[in-house]
Amino acid sequence: MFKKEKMEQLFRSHYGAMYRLARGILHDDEESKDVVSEVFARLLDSDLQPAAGKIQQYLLTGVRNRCCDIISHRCVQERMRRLYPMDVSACSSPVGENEERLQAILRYAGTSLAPQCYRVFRMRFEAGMQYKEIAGELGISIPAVYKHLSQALRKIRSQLKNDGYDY
Amino acid sequence: MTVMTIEGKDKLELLLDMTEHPENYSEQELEQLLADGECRELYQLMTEANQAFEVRKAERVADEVMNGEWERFADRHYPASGTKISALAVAFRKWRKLAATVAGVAVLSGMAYAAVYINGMQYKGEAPETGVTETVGADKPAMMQTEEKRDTVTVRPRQFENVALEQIVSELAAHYMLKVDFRSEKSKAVRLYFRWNPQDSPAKVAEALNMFNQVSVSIVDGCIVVE
Repeated sequence: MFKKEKMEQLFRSHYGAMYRLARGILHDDEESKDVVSEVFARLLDSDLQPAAGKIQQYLLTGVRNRCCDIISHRCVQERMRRLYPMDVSACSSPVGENEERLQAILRYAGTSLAPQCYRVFRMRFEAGMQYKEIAGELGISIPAVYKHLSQALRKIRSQLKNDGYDY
Repeated sequence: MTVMTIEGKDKLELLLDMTEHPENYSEQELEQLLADGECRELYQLMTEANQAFEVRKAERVADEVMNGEWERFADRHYPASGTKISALAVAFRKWRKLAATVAGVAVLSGMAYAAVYINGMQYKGEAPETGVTETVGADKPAMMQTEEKRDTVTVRPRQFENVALEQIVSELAAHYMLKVDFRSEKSKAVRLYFRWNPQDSPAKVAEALNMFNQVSVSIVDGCIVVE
């Protein structure tokens, strides 16, 4: 049983990484908070005392598995709407390895896309805006939004491949 | 539907439309489009772009979120009066663990009996229902676990929730009539959320288990080997 002080120390040391991982997979603030809290509650409930060097891995694995489980229960339409991986195992990749790739995507988007194209890209994938909303906000047509997004995605994919990232 | 065009849209435009209005398409149409190599890659890129921005947002707010969440967690698990959970809560947890252990032993005994029975005679139990998920939760009361597992020999998918790998593998072994060889003591205690479809082959189940980073399972000469 963890005393409160010990648990608070663990919580504060690892919460950030766990929340980031959950949010990256689930794209939802509330669900992510619930998952992280659940994993800590499980640790508290169990008699496990993971070794100091293993605790982060234990907690992150718990978060990742729980997120995978949540996604696996969603139908294909829902996964697509929320831009979840279709293959649940895709969210099981090691955190560090994946983070580097995500950073590369943001870097390419920021440096190689034309300003309007980058704006549309961010409005869609950062702000989660609908195509109609983006078109209205920028005063362009919906087909133009599609065109910008298509260009952005193809360009970033091409750069990822050139830099040796796998698909 | 063809992959290349629908109402004059190219496949990427179609994919973009599907991510906003998946309800307008059947599962088959969605899967068909994703079977196309370029669409699959671009869909993956979309999920990653979204993920990258979410991680960045999470970084910005993590500290603030953590403070609020710690308060919530502490209120729930550490009552205000002390530095640890009340004696009543501790007693309840101990009781719950004991109850779960007793239920586990009863279930395994039942499984062994069921396996022998099936091996020697025709199974005459209830007709199995397909498409229903059974949940075996470590946190469920023991009575419920016993009820759920009464018809162990079944083809219904089962959801293991936070269950030790040792227990999962022993259930698999009983079902598929395989031996078990744990080559690592540590892996016995790994706890998983895992959906098992008893209709899947042992090899397929092993493959699914191997999706978890900390698990390595293989089927060798009639034995489930866990490393």
